[in-house]
Amino acid sequence: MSFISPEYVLFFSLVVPLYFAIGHRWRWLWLLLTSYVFYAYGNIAYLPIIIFSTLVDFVAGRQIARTEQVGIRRLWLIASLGINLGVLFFFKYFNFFSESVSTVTGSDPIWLDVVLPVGISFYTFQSMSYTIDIFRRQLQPEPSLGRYAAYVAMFPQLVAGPIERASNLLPQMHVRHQFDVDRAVSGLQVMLWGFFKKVVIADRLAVYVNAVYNDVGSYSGAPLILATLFFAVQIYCDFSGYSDIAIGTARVMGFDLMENFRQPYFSRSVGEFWRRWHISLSSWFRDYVYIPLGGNRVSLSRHVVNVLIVFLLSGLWHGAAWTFVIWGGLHGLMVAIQTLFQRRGWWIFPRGAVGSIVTWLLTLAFICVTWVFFRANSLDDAIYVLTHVAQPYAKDVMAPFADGLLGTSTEFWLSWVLIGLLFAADGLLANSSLSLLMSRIAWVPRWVLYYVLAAAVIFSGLYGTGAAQFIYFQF
Amino acid sequence: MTTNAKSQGRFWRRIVIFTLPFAVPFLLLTGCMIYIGESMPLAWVVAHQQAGEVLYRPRYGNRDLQFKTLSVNLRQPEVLALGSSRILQFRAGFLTERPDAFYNAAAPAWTLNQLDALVAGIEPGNEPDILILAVDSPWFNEAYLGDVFPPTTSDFAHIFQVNRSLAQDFIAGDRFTREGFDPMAYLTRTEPGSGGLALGMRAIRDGHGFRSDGSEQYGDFLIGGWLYQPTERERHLDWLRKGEEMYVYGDVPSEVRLVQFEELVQTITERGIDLILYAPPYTTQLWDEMVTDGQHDYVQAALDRVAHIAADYDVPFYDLSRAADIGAGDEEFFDGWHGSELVTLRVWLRIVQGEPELLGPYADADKLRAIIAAADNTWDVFGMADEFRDRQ
Repeated sequence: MSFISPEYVLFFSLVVPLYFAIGHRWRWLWLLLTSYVFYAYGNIAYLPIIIFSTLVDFVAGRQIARTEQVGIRRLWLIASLGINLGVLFFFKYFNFFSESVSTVTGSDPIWLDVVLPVGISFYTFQSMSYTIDIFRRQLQPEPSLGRYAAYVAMFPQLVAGPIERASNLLPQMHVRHQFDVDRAVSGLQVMLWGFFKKVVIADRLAVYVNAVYNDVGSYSGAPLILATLFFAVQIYCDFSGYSDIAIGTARVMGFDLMENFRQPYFSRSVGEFWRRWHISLSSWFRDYVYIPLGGNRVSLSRHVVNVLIVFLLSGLWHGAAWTFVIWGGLHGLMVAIQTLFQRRGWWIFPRGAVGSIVTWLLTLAFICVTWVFFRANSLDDAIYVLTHVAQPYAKDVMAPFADGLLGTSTEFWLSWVLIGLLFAADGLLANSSLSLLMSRIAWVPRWVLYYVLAAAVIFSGLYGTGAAQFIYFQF
Repeated sequence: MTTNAKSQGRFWRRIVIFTLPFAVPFLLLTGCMIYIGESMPLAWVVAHQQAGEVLYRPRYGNRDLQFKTLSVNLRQPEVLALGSSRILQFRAGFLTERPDAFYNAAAPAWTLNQLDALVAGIEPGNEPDILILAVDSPWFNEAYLGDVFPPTTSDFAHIFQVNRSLAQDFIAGDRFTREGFDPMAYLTRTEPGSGGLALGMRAIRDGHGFRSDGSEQYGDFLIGGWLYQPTERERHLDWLRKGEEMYVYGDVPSEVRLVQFEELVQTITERGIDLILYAPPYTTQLWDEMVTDGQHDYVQAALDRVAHIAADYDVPFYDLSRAADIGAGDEEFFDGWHGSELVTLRVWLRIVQGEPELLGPYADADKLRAIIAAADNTWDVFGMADEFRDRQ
């Protein structure tokens, strides 16, 4: 089920009130069942896979915790990781590796005709963190299979994160949540902002981005640049919008999910970008890959290698295609260079405000250039974009908005207004929270703002079945 | 922090107040749209059409596949017509002896994918006895991509899409009318052609849509007078010469699509259905030009392969691609490849004459010849309302 569908509005309206109406003893069951309904709504064939993953890690966690023998503990951990990664490999990466091997060896690829289960990259990582934390003795196993299953499948964050940690979310499954008006208002505010970012901004920019990137050969120069810039905003609004809807939904129900985005386009280095973008994933890789490899407590050369490994894996996590690996690799390379500079104590930019602006612009430019690889339909397309951005373009640069709702010119200028509003809002949110900002507005203008945002979502958005999907759903 | 009942009550009152300005217009609009057929659940539409002559065509969305599949499963016709819009002039009246046994499950722009989906959607036990399948040669051209169809939409989701689309179009300046049409007339649900019941904005305003027997009434031509057939025929010739639209150039037929077609034939025959294949006619001028211009060699090659597949499965195949071969004139075509009702009737007569044992219980060839001879309007042989209505 998609958040941006009338079915979700109905689902939310029924599930959340009934969650509070049910006694605390059985709320985990209601949460679990409704989460499975939410997940299976798209394709019931997805359900056995998440149930299997849940059972594997629940058993593995218990087995790890019940013995002190390192060898046995390690075996169960390996079993958990192996099975989870094996499932992920089978559904997501097998065809990619088969084709890659075939390209190198010249043999015929072996194709598996499988459908990628929605959200598999998210819930397998969430589930693996449970067994790893138990192995590290940072967590006690959850005695209740039902509550553990509810933790894995919890519908607000099931299909596109945030990738929660058991230490944060599992204890909340035991808390007797009371309906709290302030939390509900705060949660609904975050949800509304998330819907606005996704439906009004991201889907609007997607019209232009898709027109250009799905037919790059017809464009050069300005449209390629604009489409890339628009994509940078589109993917941010798409993904952070989804996270906001997830966080807001959970907040209404009394749960606190982790922050997933923190104004990433204000970053002044690529390293900082990854501390602000998809925080749940980057922190997962930090805690479960980077640190076990030694992190930064190793030689410089090993440190750089660790950074590259993490980013190549991160790129691969995002998609089974070489464009994603290259994207991750480029980020890794830049972070490795920054690491080298940091450890050597080198600094080549001016100090103070000028230096901040310069590093911010350079970081933004680098991020946008690498988005080309993320969005392009193929490596050839990505190379085409990068090699044709400087060429002139004689036609109307607004033309890719032809399929927009309000006409080419209006959509073009409205997009820039919305981008400006987005960055202004992010500027305000950098030092405050949404609910705090809202509470400072008098109730009349605050309600006007609510109505404007809701009307924009309802009337201008492309939503529902057949409309633009969340980009990160494919992961 | 625990909230007391008073603040909870205030919260819920505010939620209600907030949603009212959206909910009330939404519910009113939904009610109207369901009433006039635009958002009506498909099962209700099928029920209306089973009860009498009703023209159905919504303005928004494309749920033809769900609609036709549901119709087939609920109506369980003995004789089914299937294909793209080129078979949509097949009417129940063509079955002179058993008009009640017929349903036209075709829809505009359908290709092999939609046909596969419809056949797969016919539940076991609901299969027709006879299936007449019109084969379009562009299906076998790899370069012809056809239309992109949206994913299936539930009746519930369709309500929201209709309401949003209406609002968006209204904001963009559309007032849902045309010359001589009062928007309030939507509420009368009256078909502008016959004056009968119409469901869906397109059917009500333009008289364009699916009749109760599944055939298509070309309200755009017959009532709205929007499209001028000579211009459309010229437009198709222009596309042919430029290799555009459905006349994209192609040298050889696509093996992938031929395999897909053969699998469809196999599936149909294995389900115990008597299949009749035919290639619908083009205008003579267009066909003669297409098969000799050296740019569309795949067309005849594809039809030859279809003939072989038909022979392999012991299925009759009628290649009626050239209008003159069935006694039809180019002036009887809406455009380059959509024949009129009379043209389609001539196609049907040819098939009936070729399959007397199979189709004899359903259609009398002598009666068909008489109808053809007496027809004074090539576009509308049986009247705006199906003859089926007159028999009730």
